[in-house]
Amino acid sequence: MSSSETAAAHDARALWWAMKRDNWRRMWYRFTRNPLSVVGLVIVLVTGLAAIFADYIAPYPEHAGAFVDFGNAMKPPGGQYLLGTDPVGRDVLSRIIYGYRFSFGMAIVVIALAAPPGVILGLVAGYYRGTRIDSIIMRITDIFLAVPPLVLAMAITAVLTANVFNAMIAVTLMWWPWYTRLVYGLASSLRNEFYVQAAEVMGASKFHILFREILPNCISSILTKMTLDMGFVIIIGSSLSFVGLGAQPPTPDLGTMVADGAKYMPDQWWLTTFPALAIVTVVLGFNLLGDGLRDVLTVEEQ
Amino acid sequence: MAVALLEVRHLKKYFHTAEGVVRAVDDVSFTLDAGRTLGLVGESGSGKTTTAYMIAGIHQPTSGEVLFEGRNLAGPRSRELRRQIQMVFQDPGTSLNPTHSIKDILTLPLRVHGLARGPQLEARARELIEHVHLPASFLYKYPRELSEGEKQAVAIARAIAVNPKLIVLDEPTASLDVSMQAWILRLLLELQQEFGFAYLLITHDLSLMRNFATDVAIMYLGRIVETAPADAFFTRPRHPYTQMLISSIPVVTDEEEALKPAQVVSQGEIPSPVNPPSGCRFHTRCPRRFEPCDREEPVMLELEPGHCAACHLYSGGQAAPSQRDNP
Amino acid sequence: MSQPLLEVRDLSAGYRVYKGFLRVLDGVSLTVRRGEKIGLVGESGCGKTTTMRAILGVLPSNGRVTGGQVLFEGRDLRQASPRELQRLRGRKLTAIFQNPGAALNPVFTVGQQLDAVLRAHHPGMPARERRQRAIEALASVRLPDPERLLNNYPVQLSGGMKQRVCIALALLSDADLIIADEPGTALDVTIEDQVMRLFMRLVEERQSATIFITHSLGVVRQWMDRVYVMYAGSIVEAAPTQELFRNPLHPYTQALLKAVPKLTGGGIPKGIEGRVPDYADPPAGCRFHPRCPFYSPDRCPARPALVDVGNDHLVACYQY
Ligand SMILES: Nc1ncnc2c1ncn2[C@@H]1O[C@H](COP(=O)(O)OP(=O)(O)OP(=O)(O)O)[C@@H](O)[C@H]1O
Ligand SMILES: Nc1ncnc2c1ncn2[C@@H]1O[C@H](COP(=O)(O)OP(=O)(O)OP(=O)(O)O)[C@@H](O)[C@H]1O
Ligand SMILES: [Mg+2]
Ligand SMILES: [Mg+2]
Repeated sequence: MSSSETAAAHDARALWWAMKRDNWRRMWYRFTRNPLSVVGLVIVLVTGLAAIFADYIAPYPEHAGAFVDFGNAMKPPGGQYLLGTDPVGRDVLSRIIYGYRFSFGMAIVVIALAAPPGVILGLVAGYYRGTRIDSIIMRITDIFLAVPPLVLAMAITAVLTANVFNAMIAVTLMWWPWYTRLVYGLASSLRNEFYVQAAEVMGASKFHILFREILPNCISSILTKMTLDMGFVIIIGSSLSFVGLGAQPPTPDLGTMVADGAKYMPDQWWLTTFPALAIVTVVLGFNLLGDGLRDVLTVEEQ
Repeated sequence: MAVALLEVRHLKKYFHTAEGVVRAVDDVSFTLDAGRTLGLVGESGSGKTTTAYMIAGIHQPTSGEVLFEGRNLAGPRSRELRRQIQMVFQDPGTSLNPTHSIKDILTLPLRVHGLARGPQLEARARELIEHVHLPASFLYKYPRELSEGEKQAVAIARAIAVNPKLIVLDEPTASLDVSMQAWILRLLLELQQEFGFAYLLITHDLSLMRNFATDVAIMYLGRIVETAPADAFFTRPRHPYTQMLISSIPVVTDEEEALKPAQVVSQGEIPSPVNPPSGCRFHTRCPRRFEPCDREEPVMLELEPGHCAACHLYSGGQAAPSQRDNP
Repeated sequence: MSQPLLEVRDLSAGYRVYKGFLRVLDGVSLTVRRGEKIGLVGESGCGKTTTMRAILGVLPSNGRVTGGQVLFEGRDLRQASPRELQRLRGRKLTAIFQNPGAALNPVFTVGQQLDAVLRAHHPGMPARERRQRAIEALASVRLPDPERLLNNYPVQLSGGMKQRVCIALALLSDADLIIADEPGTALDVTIEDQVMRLFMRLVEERQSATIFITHSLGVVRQWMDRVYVMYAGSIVEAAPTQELFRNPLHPYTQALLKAVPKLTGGGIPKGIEGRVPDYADPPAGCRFHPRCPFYSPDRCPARPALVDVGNDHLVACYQY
């Protein structure tokens, strides 16, 4: 009896996994129908892997930090230094690869910090739309949204000291309201769905309704937004560094590199152009990937 | 007499919209005892679903009350109460969460009320799905992989999972074929006999109503216009709207055709719930309207024991002779 | 005789799922002529909606047509390019989907959705005229207060009102063929009667045609010219309406008719024994044989073909 029961349960689990696998395969197929999405995915994968394995990939890992070699300063692209060197003789390519590591790390931390509270607040406010809870949460959100993002970040980093940690806090603070907004819209329409009402009639707890009935139906939009946001956070992070409020030298950061290189335009054009291109590429990659994901996930839901 | 399982008193629900106040339900009263089935029939848009929502606790009434075993249901409901009243929604497809498997959907009420756990859940889910005549393999499907009728069967299985006392069935068999319908209705009848379930059945299928319901209430534009035991409703319909309904039933055999009165084709404006007609609300479409109908509202009169109608034909006015209301 | 408007030949289709492929449709053949009203009936899950979606080329993402032809005015729609198909679907072929809640877009008002159809079909029509047409369309399906309804969102409508909006949308499109999947389930019989009257009148006037999928055999009997009975993915019987109801031949049709609750009383009849087969592993030969009271292995060796038994009455059963 019990053995047949466990066998049945095991069977059920196997079926469930097989089904999941099938769903993934179907989504992958649909994703690959759009070449741009695949380009996006490739860009994100290549840059992401480069960032993770920077120590092995970068031609001169030691150039990432406070390294000085005036003998090789300001070398144009080509030869030993593929993308040239900077005024203190550091390899631009290596610094870009480490710059990616920094940008990715920052973007992941910021989104990981901003999304959960944003999503939870959005769920609660959306579900309780029209009540006091809704107005309190959404007014606070509005206040954060009303302050221009860069200004808020600048204010925070100016009050505290300008460093990486504070820059991340600043970006996180300006980022969560967007998740609240997104989920608020979704949740306030989903709560009218009959399946949510059915769960309510059944007496399910609010926790169940918020996290088991409503949230799974928001996940695809949230994932898409997170992907798109990776690109935007990278831009914002770079912008902060560009104006000197983010990463401080000698941390290799794409924004800082663009800013520092700008002084040497147009003669040493590579100092600015390559880091800028690096930013553009990765942001484009995330955008294409995000659009591809959105297509796949929304069709999946019909 | 003991208190009724469900009593609805002067229930009203008005929706305030930009274009005016929609009087979806406007003074509805009825009672339903354990072990019985009240069939709620009525025009599309007459407020049947809205009434059902107020009983299930989705909408709060604008005024009036819903009494369950004598207790007023206003305000938040206890979990136990939520178990005792279940609902099957009109649009079955949209009442199943697309991200949950059928097994999760069927076991949710059991988990919520702590009625089963672990392997028991699996076993109970199997039992339920087989009750509604679907193969057990459906447990591992997702709602979008089911046909509309199969979804409806799942929704019904979910409602009976927790042994409620009252099930509100809003067109439960609209997308089921007649064979599945027969299986499921027989199951519901068995449960009624065994456990005394009461059903509030909303349907447009009057043949089904005749064979399944014990009592019938006819709604028109937010009001109940006739209540009767199921038999009397068919053999001696009193209200002209009821007569019109019965004459329009599409049937499948010649014998049934012979039983139907000559068809009364409905004419005239379909009235709006924002601006209901003065007097009797049906007068704009009534083939037998006369003098007071557009001015005075008819009251509900008991014409025979248990058979009430709200129509001037019976309120002592100069009743025009009816084609078929002689007992 | 002239070319049929739609001819479906041996259409097969199914869905990809975890344990393989569900062979749902198994050689469906139908013919629809101009001016004809076709009823399509059959058990829940027998593939009626799948047939409709396969004809229109809008199967869900895991669905696939595996064989057969869909000839619309002689052109095979399966060979048509997606763009062509898209154009045809708007102009010549239209559908009323089963689930009105899902068919209407919740974020647009009824008026906006009607307007979109009108704009697509009459590009030059002025806005005021479009509005007038929309109001007329709503009134024609007996919706109260059409002007107010234009500003309503689908959630503000009752089930039957949503269905009627869907019907109005289909009727506005002036299509040659309207495939309607249970459009009247939430309408009371008086309104249903009026809507059907209008619908059928339009079909006759425009010399268009309709395939009407429904579980209400009464509606079929009252309004349709010809009935196709489907069981487990194939047509088992086809006949003119009167003929089918007087003289049902296939054991499945007979059982189905017996399961209808009667106005004459007698309680809820028994359903048909057994279940719709598992499409992953459908019964070999006649798909109805596990539930058939007349089945015997030597009499029913393979899958029976549809044969004409006279009176334009086709049946797929070895008894005939
Ligand atoms: N949320 C809402 N806001 C505004 N009006 C509403 C709302 N819900 C329902 N109504 C209106 O209330 C009236 C009654 O609707 P209800 O859904 O109760 O009808 P019904 O009797 O169930 O009809 P059907 O048989 O077509 O389902 C309709 O006129 C409808 O437009
Ligand atoms: N997307 C899907 N994936 C897998 N199986 C599906 C899918 N859609 C439908 N099916 C299965 O295919 C069969 C036929 O479904 P279909 O929707 O065509 O039935 P139907 O005849 O329209 O039934 P109903 O009258 O209940 O609407 C059903 O058994 C259903 O479970
Ligand atoms: Mg309703
Ligand atoms: Mg269907």
